Amino acid sequence: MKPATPACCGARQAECWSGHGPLRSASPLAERFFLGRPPLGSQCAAGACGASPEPNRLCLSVGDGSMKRIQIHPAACSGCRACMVACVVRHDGRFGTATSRIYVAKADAAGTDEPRVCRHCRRAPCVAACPTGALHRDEEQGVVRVRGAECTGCGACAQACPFGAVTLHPQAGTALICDLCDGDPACVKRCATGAIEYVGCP
Amino acid sequence: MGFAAASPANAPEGETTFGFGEGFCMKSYGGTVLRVNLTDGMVRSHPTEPELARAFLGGRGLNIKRLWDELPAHTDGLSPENILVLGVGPLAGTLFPGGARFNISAMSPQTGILGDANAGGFFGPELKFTGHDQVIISGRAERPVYLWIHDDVVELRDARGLWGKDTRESTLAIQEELGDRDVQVAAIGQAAENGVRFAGVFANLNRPAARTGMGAVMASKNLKAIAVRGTRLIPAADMARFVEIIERLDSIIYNHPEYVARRRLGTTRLIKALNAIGALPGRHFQEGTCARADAVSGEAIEAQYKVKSKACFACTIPCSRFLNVNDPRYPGLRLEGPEYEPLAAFTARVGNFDLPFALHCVDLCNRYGIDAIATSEVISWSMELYQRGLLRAEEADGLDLTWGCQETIEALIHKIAHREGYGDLLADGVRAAARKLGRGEELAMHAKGLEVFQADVRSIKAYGLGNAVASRGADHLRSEPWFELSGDREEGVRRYGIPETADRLAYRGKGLVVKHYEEMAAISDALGICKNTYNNMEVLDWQGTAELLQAATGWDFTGEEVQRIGERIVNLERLFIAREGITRRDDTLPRRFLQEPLPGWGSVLELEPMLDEYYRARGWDVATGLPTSAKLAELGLSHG
Repeated sequence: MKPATPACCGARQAECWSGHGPLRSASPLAERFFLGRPPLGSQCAAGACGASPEPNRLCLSVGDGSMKRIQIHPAACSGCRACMVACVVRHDGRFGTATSRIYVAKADAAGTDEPRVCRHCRRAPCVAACPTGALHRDEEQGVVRVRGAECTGCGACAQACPFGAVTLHPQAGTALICDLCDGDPACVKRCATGAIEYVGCP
Repeated sequence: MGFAAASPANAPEGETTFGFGEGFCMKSYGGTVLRVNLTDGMVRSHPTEPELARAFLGGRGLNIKRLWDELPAHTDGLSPENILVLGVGPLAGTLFPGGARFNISAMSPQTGILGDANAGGFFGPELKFTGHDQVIISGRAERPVYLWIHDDVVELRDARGLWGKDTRESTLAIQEELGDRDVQVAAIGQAAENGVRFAGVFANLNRPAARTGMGAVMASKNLKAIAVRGTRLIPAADMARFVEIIERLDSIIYNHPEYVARRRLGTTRLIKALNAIGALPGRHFQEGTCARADAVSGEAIEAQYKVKSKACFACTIPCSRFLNVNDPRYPGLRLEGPEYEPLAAFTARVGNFDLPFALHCVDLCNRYGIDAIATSEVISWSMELYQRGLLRAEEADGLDLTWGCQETIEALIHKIAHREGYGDLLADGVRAAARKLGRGEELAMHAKGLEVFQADVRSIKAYGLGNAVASRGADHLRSEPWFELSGDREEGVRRYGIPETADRLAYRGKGLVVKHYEEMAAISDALGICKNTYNNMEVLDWQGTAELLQAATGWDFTGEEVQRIGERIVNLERLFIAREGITRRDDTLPRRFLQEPLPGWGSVLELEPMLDEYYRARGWDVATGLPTSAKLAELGLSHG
């Protein structure tokens, strides 16, 4: 599997992207592949995510400063999944969660809620893993994109993503990756708690 | 184990032409009704009937229609002949803030009349995403099974290994067995298996559909749980319009004066609020105020144990709370909730003001799978009998029935869940317990066999009326007439033509208020949405509801039609319980509320004038409390 710690920028290397310690592990392919969604394998080591409500303002892509990213603050997430429905409504024009490009991993017993969404990594493992070139990085926009026609649904991208942020369409089988709604993310707009933010990188 | 696959007649997107002509598609519905016969393991499905959906919407509305049509009068609640109906409505699983709820209905083994319970969380939307609007379960399995619905694949799976496990263990075990934590499970605990008649169905571990004993019905069918996972996408007739309306609702909610308090405390803010107006159920309704209420308030929980805010599906008010109760007596006690009802149950009602202990009791009830309201009633009733010398300790397994005695309260929860000793007497509910004991019937706080909720209705008159006439027995969620607490007399005139409707201690006009809120409650339960947003915050009026439904379904609803649907549901439920013998004389409340002035507040509840006004507003016969044939004809229920 991928190394436990994501390649964060600078001094925050050791911190989890959620701001609460290093990631433990990513999820095994088999579970993600056959059961629809990745299980809760990559929670904050600090646990509970109640440790610090103060978000960690790190970003992976050190662009020209104008680039914006979706930032996640699990401690603030109520787990309602409104973001998922908003995503599906925006992209598919229907109600549902199965084709959402953002996913909130929930553990009812532990009470944790962890939104996962593509970070549009500069050196994206999913792009590198894609055997057909369907995944590519739009360098101008700083966004990882999928050319649907070329996607074979092999799932290599989902396997490669250390954040569990890539899933496969339950019917079509093709990769589902956040496209930032062309700069106006529906999920962020609907979030009631500020757990997902769309902010510029410092 | 028996396996049966169902292939719905409709296409993946819920396309049906049923009755409404070629090319007709039911927007915002799953589109399918699933029927499961546990006796022979047969599963079949048919399209959701558009004409019924238009007349009853879904959820509680469509559920009562099924019960009325398919359940013979006087069916024994625990017999295989009883049917268990799960339903979601057209707004469940949508963007609606609080569109998270499902109803589960059957003949109640606890009350012998309408059984119906409702819960939020994530189960309802997930069921909707399987493409099903309703699941109708009949018969009785030969051995324990659970029902697994994965889109249109339906399985009855072996649950022998789960029998004896609590709701939490069962839920987690099923998720593990199916290899997916997003499987939503509604499970019963040991209490239901042991035949406790107020055992409920628990979704998301801490989301009880606990009133009227629907868990007991599941257990009688050897059905341990229902697990759902749906990947369908549900179309709306006009998504752009729907989104536009939701954005407006979100802004109403964010600017609502109660918003901040609701997201901090949820309903637990009511401990302080009801204490201030003398409406807490202190020591089994002997006192409306408790000196130590602040110690067990929502604010105290927030300050000491709240980890984070939680929410139901797609809701913009995270009014639920996840708690980590750091108390050495209860290691590892972490739970979501509780809401006001279970919190008041194990504090004011039983005379306990130790917060961690109360949370421990709520957790026990959730795990065993019993209704916290009924549990707290049978315990506090026993304590009052003991206080009055009507019950001796020897009759109650030697327990010390002093108010607030923690050992006793905890022991009774265990005893009830296992039907052991004195707990066996209590496990059929307070009405049955009083009859069996031959004492204390006048102190039993119930209406129609269902235990009274956690508020003293001598201080809130419309709630009193609402409890007396509620179709499932004493219950506030059949009406939730909060308006009488508003104090807004001008609005009272505008709405009902009567300023006193906004005064909680006044009587005049309360029949009109309860009628109105009963219809709103019926609509929210039929749509699959939350009463916090729809009934209490009133984010939509009838016309607004009609507009949202137009966008959702494409049908040309009017505000008047929506109100009529609410009225139709209330009337059909009334017909259902009338068939079981309910008339005006059953629309009553415990003697204490009607005859004993509330100590310190000096008021009783004068029910009869409110009842007269209510029946007249309903167009029912005032002498019998039964719907008139003219009213039924008006609602299209004459031949139903």
